[in-house]
Amino acid sequence: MERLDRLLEFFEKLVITLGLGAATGLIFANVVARYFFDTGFSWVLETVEYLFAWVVLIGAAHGFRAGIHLGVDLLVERFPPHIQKRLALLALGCCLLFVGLVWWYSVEYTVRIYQWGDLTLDLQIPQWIPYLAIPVGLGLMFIRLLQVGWSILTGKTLRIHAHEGARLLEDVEDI
Amino acid sequence: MATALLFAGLLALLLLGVPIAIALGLSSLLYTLLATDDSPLIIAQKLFDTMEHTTLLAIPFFILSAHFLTSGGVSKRLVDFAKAAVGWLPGGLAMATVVACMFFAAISGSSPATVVAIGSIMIPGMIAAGYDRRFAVGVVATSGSLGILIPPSIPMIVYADAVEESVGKLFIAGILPGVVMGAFLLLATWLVAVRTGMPREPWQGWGHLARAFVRAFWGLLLILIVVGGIYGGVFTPTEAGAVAAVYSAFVALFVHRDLPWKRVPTVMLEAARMTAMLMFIIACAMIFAYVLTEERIPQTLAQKVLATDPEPWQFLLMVNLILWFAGDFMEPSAILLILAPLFHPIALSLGIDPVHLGIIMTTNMEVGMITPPVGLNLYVAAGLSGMSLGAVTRAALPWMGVLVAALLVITYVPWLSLWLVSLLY
Repeated sequence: MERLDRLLEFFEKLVITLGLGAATGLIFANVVARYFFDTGFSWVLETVEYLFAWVVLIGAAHGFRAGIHLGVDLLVERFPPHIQKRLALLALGCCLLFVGLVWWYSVEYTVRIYQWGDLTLDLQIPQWIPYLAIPVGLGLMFIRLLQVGWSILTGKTLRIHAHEGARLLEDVEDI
Repeated sequence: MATALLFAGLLALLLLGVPIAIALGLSSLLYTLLATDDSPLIIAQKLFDTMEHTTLLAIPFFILSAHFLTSGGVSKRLVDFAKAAVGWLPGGLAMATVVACMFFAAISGSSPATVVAIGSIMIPGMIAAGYDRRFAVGVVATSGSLGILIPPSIPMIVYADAVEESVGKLFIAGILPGVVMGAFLLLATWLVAVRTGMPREPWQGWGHLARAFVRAFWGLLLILIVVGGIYGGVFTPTEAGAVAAVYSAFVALFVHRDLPWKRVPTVMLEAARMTAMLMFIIACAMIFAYVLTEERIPQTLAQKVLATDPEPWQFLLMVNLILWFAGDFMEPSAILLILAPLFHPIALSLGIDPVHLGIIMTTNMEVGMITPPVGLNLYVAAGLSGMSLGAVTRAALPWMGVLVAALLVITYVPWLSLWLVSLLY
């Protein structure tokens, strides 16, 4: 179980770091190409869009593991811990409901796109390949949410989300 | 009626502690399933479509750029320059904090990032120099909110995308209101400083100021690259973001050499996480906004509001109040995506310029940044200073008056937002 967790975390971090880096590099190179070599690549923007679809969906799944999603806790924090635990499980149930349902729809949708067999506009690759980001991202998100659920059940945490500020502050301590 | 349920469902999910993104998505999904005949497959598709809004793609790049600037010591140099420039005035360090926040705001697009960048240096600095802790924290939390009014600005990018306005125009329009807001904060600081006899730093001469400027030069140059580049048509806002990110990395690694190479992957990972968190909220807010549009809510609301024949100032006051309320529960980008399409048609009918409306909405988000409970700036300032959230909230309270005063000026003097735009476009 722990090995799976580490493997997933490695995969998530790799995809989002490289994805963001590649997107930045591509757009920058396109600007340079336009101004210094008077040329440009029409496929860059489309590639960057697809890269970001992967970065955002895989990153959002990773976000549940890392506890960086933003939420409001002004009401729940007023309750005693045993009630907070139940509310947290209820909130987690809502997350699982959304992610699970949309995962199902996204599989259906991706299968449909596969059957249509369209190619993307600029890259000319099968359309379903970039769209795979949704089922993969949401599937990963579901696994991560189950992990959070386990942490809540075993009393390790009472929250699904963290304040964005907490993340920023960790950065400061790094520096 | 069903629409009221949609909003009530969203509020209930938020209060239950469901993350903002999921709360937006789930309320839209349930509404689609229960109250419409639309296929829910569209919701899965919308998650993907968000990335095809090329304007929004500027956001990750500006986030990455801000991460490099903060890790690479640019913020420290901006603070030194601000100190050399205004530190000799009464309450010098507090004045320098406001000015440094204005500079940092001009190279980054986020308020909490500005609070972290400047506050992590200035809060300990001011306390060491004998400033009242509450005063120091209040100044930082409030001035940091300038991050989203002075361009570049993530909320402005979102607004531009939501109502199909030009990002360049909004950026240019934000400059004067940002300066006015900064001037209000400087004036308030100065008045408090003179009255309570706060310390000044010694004036160290023009040579010192010039040296501080040279040291901060590479950071300040980014202001020109971003605003000049977009306005001059050299590149699109999205390209400006990518150029800013590469430039910031270059300055940190090769010019200042403050950032060790081995930290680069960590900086990028942090930026990617922040990107995913924010863009996931935006994607889910897009679903929510899509449901509203499908149900023709913007048109219905516009008809109802216009039927009461409001004066423009009444409408703008209503906008201010609704945004203030919404800002207490939600993330600025989500609010803009949902509410901008609602306000936009009404503003057009009342003869209010959409660019001006965008600036008003962004300024309102600033006030929301220091209003509890989702006042991100308060939370960050609390972490930086070691004070409780409650204490920081009380410390920022008098400053909220200053922000609201500036908000009213920006709301009711459209000239401030529109003059530069009319000159340049």
